[in-house]
Amino acid sequence: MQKDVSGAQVLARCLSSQGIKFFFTVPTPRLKPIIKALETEKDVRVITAHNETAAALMAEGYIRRSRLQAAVLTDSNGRAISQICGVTNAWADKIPLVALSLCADDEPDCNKSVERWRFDQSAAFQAVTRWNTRLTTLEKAPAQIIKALQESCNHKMGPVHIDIPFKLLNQYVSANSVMILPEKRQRPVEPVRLRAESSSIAQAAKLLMNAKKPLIFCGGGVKASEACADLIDFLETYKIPIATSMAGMGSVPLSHPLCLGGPSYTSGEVFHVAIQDADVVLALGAAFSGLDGFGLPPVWSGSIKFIHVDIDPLQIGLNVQPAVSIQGDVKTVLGQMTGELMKNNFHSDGRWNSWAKMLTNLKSGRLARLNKDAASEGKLMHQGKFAQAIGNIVTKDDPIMVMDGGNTVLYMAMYAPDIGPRQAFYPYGMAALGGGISYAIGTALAAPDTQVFLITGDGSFMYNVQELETISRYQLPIIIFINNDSAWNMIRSMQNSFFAQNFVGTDLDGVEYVPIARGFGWRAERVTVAEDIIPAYERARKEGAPAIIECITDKNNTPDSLLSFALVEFQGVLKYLNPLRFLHSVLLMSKMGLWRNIYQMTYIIKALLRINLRARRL
Amino acid sequence: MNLITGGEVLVDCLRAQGVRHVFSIIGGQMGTIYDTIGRRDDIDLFIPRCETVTPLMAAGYMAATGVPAASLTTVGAGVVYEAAGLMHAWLNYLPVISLAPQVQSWKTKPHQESLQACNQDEIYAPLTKWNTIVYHWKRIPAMINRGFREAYTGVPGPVHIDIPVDILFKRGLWGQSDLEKVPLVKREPTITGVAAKIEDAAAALKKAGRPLVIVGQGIGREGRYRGVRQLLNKLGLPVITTRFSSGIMRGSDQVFAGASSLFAETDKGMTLLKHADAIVVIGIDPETISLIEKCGWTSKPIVQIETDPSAFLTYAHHLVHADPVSALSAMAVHGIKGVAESKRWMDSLQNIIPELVNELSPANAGINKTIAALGKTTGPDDIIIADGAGISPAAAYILKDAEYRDLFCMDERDMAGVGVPFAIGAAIGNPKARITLICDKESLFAHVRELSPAAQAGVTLRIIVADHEDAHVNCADTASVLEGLGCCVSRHDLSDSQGDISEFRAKAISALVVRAVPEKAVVRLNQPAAVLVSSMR
Repeated sequence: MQKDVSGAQVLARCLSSQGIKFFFTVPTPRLKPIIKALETEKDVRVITAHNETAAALMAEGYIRRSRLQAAVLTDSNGRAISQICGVTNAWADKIPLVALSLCADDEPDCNKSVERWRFDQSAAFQAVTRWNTRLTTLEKAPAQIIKALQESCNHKMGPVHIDIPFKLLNQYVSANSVMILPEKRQRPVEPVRLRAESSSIAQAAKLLMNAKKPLIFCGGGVKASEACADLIDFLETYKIPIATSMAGMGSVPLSHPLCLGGPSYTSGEVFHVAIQDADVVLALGAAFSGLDGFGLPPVWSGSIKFIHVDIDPLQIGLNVQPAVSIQGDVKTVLGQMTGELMKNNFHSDGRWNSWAKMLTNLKSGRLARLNKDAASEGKLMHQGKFAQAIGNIVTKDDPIMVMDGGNTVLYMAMYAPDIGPRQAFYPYGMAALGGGISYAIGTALAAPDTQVFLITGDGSFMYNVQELETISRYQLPIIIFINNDSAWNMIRSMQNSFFAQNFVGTDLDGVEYVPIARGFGWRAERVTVAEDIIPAYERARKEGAPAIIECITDKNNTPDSLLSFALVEFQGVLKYLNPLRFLHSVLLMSKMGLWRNIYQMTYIIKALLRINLRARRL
Repeated sequence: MNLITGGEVLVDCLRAQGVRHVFSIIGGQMGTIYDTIGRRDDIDLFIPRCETVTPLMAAGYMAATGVPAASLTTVGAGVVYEAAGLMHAWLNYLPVISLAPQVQSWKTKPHQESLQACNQDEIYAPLTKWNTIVYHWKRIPAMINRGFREAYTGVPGPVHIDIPVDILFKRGLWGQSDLEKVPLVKREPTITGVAAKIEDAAAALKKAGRPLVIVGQGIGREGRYRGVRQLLNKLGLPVITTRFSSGIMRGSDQVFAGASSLFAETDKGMTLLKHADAIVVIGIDPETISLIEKCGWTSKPIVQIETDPSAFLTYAHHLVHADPVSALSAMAVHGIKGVAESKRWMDSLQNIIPELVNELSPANAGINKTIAALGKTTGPDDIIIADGAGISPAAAYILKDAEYRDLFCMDERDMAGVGVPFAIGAAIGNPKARITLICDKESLFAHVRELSPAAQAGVTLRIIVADHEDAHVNCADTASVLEGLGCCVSRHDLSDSQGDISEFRAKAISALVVRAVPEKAVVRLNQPAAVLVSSMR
């Protein structure tokens, strides 16, 4: 039999024919054959980065925006493990990333013998992938690849990992012996339209109809199901207030009268009062993660009856114990729920108006206070004012917004403008720093006609700064706004509050990002007052080239939502702090504005204890 | 007895093992550890700009000083960045101590959607020698001690310890007497070996006409290898080193026959090596095993000297369970030197090397000359780190006449750009030594960000970069990038071939960017500088 195709060609053909057209990689001599083969495939683009972590994050950013599948391809060992950061983000946020890496030819050695290169590469990925495999023969490879792609996009969605032994790339086989399916267009990430059981829908509808203070809690599953428009129809029909999780941000316009405001804790007391007072919560595609208070007391009321809708049965009941569990696709379930409510001839008839109005009033009050905070005079720009300025540009120019950082993301969420479901991107599950530049590259490649912004903290900006060169090389006109507060400020705020201002390892003073950016040949300028941000942006936009706008902000600003987060994430832990040092912290904080700090410390406690006077008065 | 937090106990235990530096990026869960370090003056932090490099910096620190350093990263997000760096430590037999907090012990595993949580112990299981989760405050000392023991005993390797946040924040009674119960883990065990086995091995070597010693990374970098070098010279058998054991032998050593990668990656080299008729393997590493298999030596007499019996090869004939110093000292008594009468064998190995260097990396002729020139300016305080395809395997030979304290050649095949963080770690650990990194543009860029915090911290480091102008691969100007990050840069455009490497020194990070145009690539030394040192921020 004539052996006429190489392993590299077979694999390139399989992946391309299955609709994987974007590959992100760091070229090495061992990868050369497969990269060469991919480049000869129709419509395939191979994007090269400087390190594998960045390549994986780029692929992930591309999928998030385009909803088309893409792959990261790396060499073996450390280069393969470098992918794991991007793969873990994809796993936490349910992104169907295809991770490909070369591996040693020998069978993996589970005994950890001296032959260290035979370590079980696949096992390292097992904890953070939906499915993983090691290719065995070229003849079986097409089936294994198809299986992997199916697993990545089944109802659970998530990354898959495929190990490719070195030897396969340079083996030759007869073209007839390898089954290659017909060419597919680029593979879309399509939601699975799974219908829920009608009995569960009936129970849920009954619970909702009898609710006194219902609340919809919208998770990332709404966007994944492409159900945002259906959700808005549903809540407008029945006038039910809606809160979003961090993952669900953008599903409903924040200015919508029924929306509580920023996602999760970032809507402050509005969120806390809503989840303490609600009696029925319709949770749609929500994971109830730490960022959302787990759906459990003390942040959430223990008497809430949850209707939990999720396509993944393992997600239901993970943290909250729902009164009604509905396994199904959000869009389909919303249709079924509407049908059921209509069948019962149910109209809300304004029964929840006072509940919604109370929350709306709280929201207005909060927004007024946030605006007042941002306008407060200080030596340096308030981070709220920075977020507002960016928000104004976003409202005007409708760009894609990639966010990266700790407090930077919280401020952006607190002061967020109205954004659409596929407009803002950040890794909410792992909240990993440093993916911003890579995500910006991925999203810019996915939407070449749309302006991409990266709004990043100074700490997170540097993680993958080497990829500024990649942006230049691919001529992507990305504009980066650096919120330079000269600190790892989320943690610095905690050292301020709990460790008597013993600021250790959190100051980033003296680092100038403009020279760094210029070193990479970028246009860069530094802005110290918020009023200069828009003109700087206009100048950058005019040139149509990548640009950095470094905004110097005040490191003493602390987003109030950070304290809610700290109290939940450190639940049961902070009691161990030395009380004298904690008292010392509070005294020291007075230097930075006693009232602001007292407010920050007490507002959540008031919300938790249901003594929010404003809420009662209304 | 004091009422102190788990974080304070952890720092006490690290100090008890001699740790003076921790490479780390903070996370909220580490609050008590950072608070403790901030209040103590016997332990310091270095904060890089990405967790991937924390184990690599710790490895460089330890290599330059023999003193352990720790890598500390935050739960989930930090850990997954760190994994790649720890992988390098795993493959290169480096005893890196990696620590990470976890979410509360009642939520640690399986994860329950806590922010940043993943089953990180499962990720680390295949790429560490040992990993664990500490579930009780009282177990911190025992687990830290065991971590060090696992990392340093036998074939070294990285270990990872997860400590849930409640354990780190919990307060308990702890005093000097508890601390005294934490014994220092001995990092260089003495195992004398069985005399009869050593005698048998020596007898086998005496019979050989073309013996060859391969020294690998497993020999360790704790200081004892200097004794090994003397003993190998005394034995008189030709010695080749692997990539990571490069600095163990020097060009001035009569018995040094070059780097294994030079032979393994060239046809002529392989053909010659196959003639060896007896092999001594000391301190095994991946390159050693690969070379034995490629050369088909499995049927020939192999003497293997190991402190860890689990590292014995199945096809080795003479297994000597002993530390290298004890075993080689005993062998020297048996007078193996007689076999080195086959001087022709030694000469043939040594004479072929220039040819192999040219075959392996013709494009690097220019940078090779720069490296050779560097070698003429180095002294006993110099530590040289080589990274990048072509540069790393050839460096040991090019620097054959150089004097230096140590040479480390990174394996760019396993991970890109290890050299930068490794060199920074070495420079932090040993500020008295002069650290020079020689690398290519690809290796430099992978972790180039780390030069910014290093420059901020006043780290002294010299970098020679082999530059290129292929805009399809990298369109950034290397010198500008380095300047932007706070380095003092000298540019050598090789078309004018001018430059003075003897002036290439500064108190901060200084870099020499060499345009690698092969035929023109000559940097003339000991002449006045054409363009040298711009500003220093």
